[in-house]
Order: sequence, then structure tokens, then C-alpha cells
Amino acid sequence: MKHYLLFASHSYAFSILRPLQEEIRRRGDEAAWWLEYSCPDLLRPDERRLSNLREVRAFAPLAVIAPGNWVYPFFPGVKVEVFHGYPMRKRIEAVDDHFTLRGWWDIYCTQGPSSTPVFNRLADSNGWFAVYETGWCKVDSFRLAAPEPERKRPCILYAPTFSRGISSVWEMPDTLERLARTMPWDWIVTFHPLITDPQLIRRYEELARRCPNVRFSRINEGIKTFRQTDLLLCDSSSLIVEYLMTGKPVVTLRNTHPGPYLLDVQTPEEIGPAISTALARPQQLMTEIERYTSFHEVHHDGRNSARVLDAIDDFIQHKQASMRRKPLNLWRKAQMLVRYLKSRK
Amino acid sequence: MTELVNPEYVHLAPLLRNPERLVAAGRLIHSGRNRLYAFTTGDGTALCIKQYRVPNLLNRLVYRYLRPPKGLRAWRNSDALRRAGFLSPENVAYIQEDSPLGIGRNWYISRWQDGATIYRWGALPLRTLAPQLDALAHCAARMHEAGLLLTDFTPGNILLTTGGFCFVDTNRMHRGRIDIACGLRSMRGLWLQPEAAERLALAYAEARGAHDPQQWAARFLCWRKRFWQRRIHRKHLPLEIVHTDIDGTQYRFNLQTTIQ
Repeated sequence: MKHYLLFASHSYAFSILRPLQEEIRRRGDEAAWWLEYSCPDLLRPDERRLSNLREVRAFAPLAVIAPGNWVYPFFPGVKVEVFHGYPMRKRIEAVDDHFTLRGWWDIYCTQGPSSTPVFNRLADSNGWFAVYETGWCKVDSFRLAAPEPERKRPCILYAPTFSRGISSVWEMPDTLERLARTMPWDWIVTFHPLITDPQLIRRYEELARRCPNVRFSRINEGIKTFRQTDLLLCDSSSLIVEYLMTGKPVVTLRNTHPGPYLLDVQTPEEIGPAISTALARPQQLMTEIERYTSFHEVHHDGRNSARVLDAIDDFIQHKQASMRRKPLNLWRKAQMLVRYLKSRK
Repeated sequence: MTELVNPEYVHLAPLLRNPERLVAAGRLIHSGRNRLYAFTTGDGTALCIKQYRVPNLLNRLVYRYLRPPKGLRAWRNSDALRRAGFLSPENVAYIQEDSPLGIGRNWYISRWQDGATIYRWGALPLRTLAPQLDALAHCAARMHEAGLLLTDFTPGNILLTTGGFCFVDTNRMHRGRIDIACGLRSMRGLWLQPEAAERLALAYAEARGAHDPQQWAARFLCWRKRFWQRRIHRKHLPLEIVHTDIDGTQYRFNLQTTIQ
């Protein structure tokens, strides 16, 4: 029986790693979870949690799979990066931090043409990691056969990102309240786990109390939340492409990299008309959405998690022995050790 | 400790991670510079464990920081051969002791491969060997065309199995473009009488599409003669060398005609 450690550093990891856990179990293997202190414990009763290095060593995972930017290098097993989003270039930089190499990973499981060629080039020049175009595990859960529940009124998801300067979260409460009162739409508001400003949270909680058609939830449950809505209102977040995968339109406020697959507006006043347009699902917009999602996610067969597990086996059998040594990274390793020790207190 | 366990054998991982136990319980089948053991697990998986000698201090550092150690190269090369469609025992595990002062002991564990070495060819006449020589020449030609050159192409490292030739002890291998001369030179150490060696070279040159196979065969005989002359001189070998196989069978190779 093969053992895999699922490494979660934020709550978003659950929706990414659970399809993988399902595939691991389907194969008769075993998965266990490692939750960082920054990650709430949302484990189900049948999910196993490991809580210290000794338990991890005893579990002897074949691979440690993480959707975050880092993993403890002293954990045993092949380190696998499955990403927590698509390369969205949300900040206006020459190089997307999606492609920053930190020296932790043996395998990068890329999602499609938007990421694979860049990682392949990096792998050729660095030589200490391998790249497999497996597709994103989270997308496996998008292929649910059950039809969505019927809604009497359109429901809009507002899910802002956390980065200051990009996020619309601070200027939206008034607009949201106006739209909630004047338009025949229901709203679900979810926050990025890194939005922790208590004042802001209170403001949205109060808004939800005042407007019965607004529901506020700290946690976005991924596809479960997406399936309750007809449209996403956002700013610049990797969530956009995930949402587009469901074939539903997205309206953005000052997106840093707008494209024809989005209805992007510059002021909060334009949001209402843009939502009305998008809810009609214009043909051209829907075609652009299809084109854009295929650029990010190459596989649509629901087998991405299976491909990740196959990639791990292939890496160990055929590539691991030929890899160059990973960067020494002493400073970062020391930081990781400190982080681990802190989290154990 | 560096560990590499084939995911197909992960159920044996607790055992494989403790090679000292395997070696202690295994059967020693060869003891020289390195040691070779056979071991059968509880579920009937037959394993071959090669324990490499701890290198000198300089090489310990070299293998730790600059160059992959032999066991790791054996894994890599065996995998490359299998992926190219040649027979080589399946990799099971590689375990290496590490310290800042370099590598320590290391073990390469593969599936046990039944089969006979080709030492016996040294005493067999061409008429008995011809089809097998042609088969080996074709196999080597394909391997070299695939860019893989086993530099330890010796009778003990080629097993005759029911599926064809199986290559073991693969830690010495060169990858890249292999020309005919290079390919033929790698086969100088085979135990063959001159007419059998000529046949092997002819078949190899033809398989590689050479215009003048006869000339390549003549060159091969010449290289081979020099190779064995030097070997006899350097290692003070007698004119009849003897090898005792792991099953106790003795094979003899008379070098008289080869070096004449």
C-alpha cells in the first residue's frame, strides 16, 4: 500500500487535495493530512491527520503533495507541487510568481499551455525537478454528474482577492448594498483566507444581516459554492479561471490583465449593467471563455488526480535517479525549521 | 540516508530500507570488490542485492557531491535500457548512507534474474554459436543505435534468458551517438574463439549498415588481440583463464588462438 501525505497550509488546500485523496483511496492506497497552523482543521471523521515529524516518518509517505508555495524539506518522500491556482499574472510584473522556483519541489504538476512550456524551460535549465502536465486536481471535482439545483433568481458570487492595491474588498460594501437592494439578484460573498481584517469582516457581516438576499461566508468551498451561483464578481484572482471552468461568466472590477473572456469595468457604478449583460450569456463572451479555459486547463476528462499519482510513480522509477541536486537553500531551510518548531508549540 | 524505492515494491519498503538485514539473511553469491547477495522475501519476490565497497575518502566526497554513485548509476542505466526495450532486471531500491564526509555504504537492489552467463561461449565452436552470435550482434546494434553503450559488456554481465539477452551490472554505460568502432570495441572482452568473434563483428557491422563489414571484422579481431595481450600482460593472466559461475560450474577460455 502506497502512502501519500497531503500538505495543507491554507483552507483552499482541501478542495484541491480531496479529489486526489479520493483517487488514492480508489487505488487502495492511503492518504494522511498535514495541517499547518495557518490552516483550519476542516478534516472529516474518516480523514487521518498527522501532527508531528515522528508520525510523518512512521507513515513514510511515498510523496508529499502540496498546493502551496512551500513544504518542509525534511519530510520524507518526493515533494510534489500541485498549485493553488492558475498563472493569472494578477500583479503587473514581468515574471509571474507562479513560476518562482523555491527549491522545494521534485515534481511540478502543471495544468496546461499557460504553465507547462514555462516550467519545461525552467526544468531544462535547472535540472533538479521534473514537469508533468497532469492538469489540476481541483478540476476533477468540477465534473459532477448531478445537475445544479434550480434557482428562482440569479445568484451572484462576490469573491475578492486579498492583495492590497488589487482587491476591491474595501470599496465594495456600499455598491454591494445598493445592488442587493435594487436588483432582483441573490448574493453570496466569500473571502480569501488571507483577508483577516476584523473590521472589514464585521462590515460584511453587518451587510449580510441588513440585506436578506446577501449571504456572507468566510470560506469559499470551491465547486460547492460555484454550483450555487450564476456569475462571479471579482477583481484579480486565480479564482476567476476556476469559475470560468464551470462555463459561467465573470464580471471584474479593474482586473490587472483583462481579456475578452471577462466583462471588466473600471468603476463600481458600471458593475450593475455589466452583470445584467453577462447574465444573458452573450455568444461571443462564452466562446472566449471556452478558448481561455482550454489555454489554462488542458485536460477535461476528470482524471487529473490519477495523472498526478501516475506522475509520482513515473518520476521515482525513471527520473529521480537522474535529477541534479536541489539547491542547498540553507537560509530557506532554516526558516522552514523555525516555522515547523513554532507550529509545534 | 538516500533512499529510492520503486513504487511497485512499496509494500517491501520497511524491509528494503534495512539492507543490512537483507544482506545478513541473504545468500552470498559473489564476494570481490563488491558483494552480491540473493534474497527471497516472504511473498516470494526474489531479489538481488549488490553491496558496493565503501570508496576511498576522495571518491566518497566525489560520489556525494559531484558524481552519482555506482548504485544510482546502475538504477538509472537499467531503467534506460528497459525503457529502450532491452532486458535488464527491474529496479527495486537503492539505499545509500550519507554523511558530510561523503557517501558510506550503498546498496542497489533489483529483481533476481534467472539465466545463464555467456562464459561458456569461450569454449564453443562457431557452428554451435552462430545463431546466438547473430542475435547478440543485432541486439547490441539496436542498443547502440538507441544511443546506449554498455562499457562493461562482458560475459558475466550478459544473461541468456527465455526472453533474450538480459543485461546486468549496468553501472557503466555511456549515452550519446555510438559509432561502429566504439560499439565493436565495447565487445572486445567477450569470451569467443577468433572465428566466433569474426562472425559477431560481421553480423554487428551488417546490422549497423556498414559498407565494408569484412574490414570491420578484421579491425575487431585486431583490437581484440591487443586487448587480451595487454590484459594478460597487466594482470599476469595464464593463457587459459577459468571462471567459476555462481552455480559452481567452471568455464575455461583458451587465449592461445586469440592473441596469435
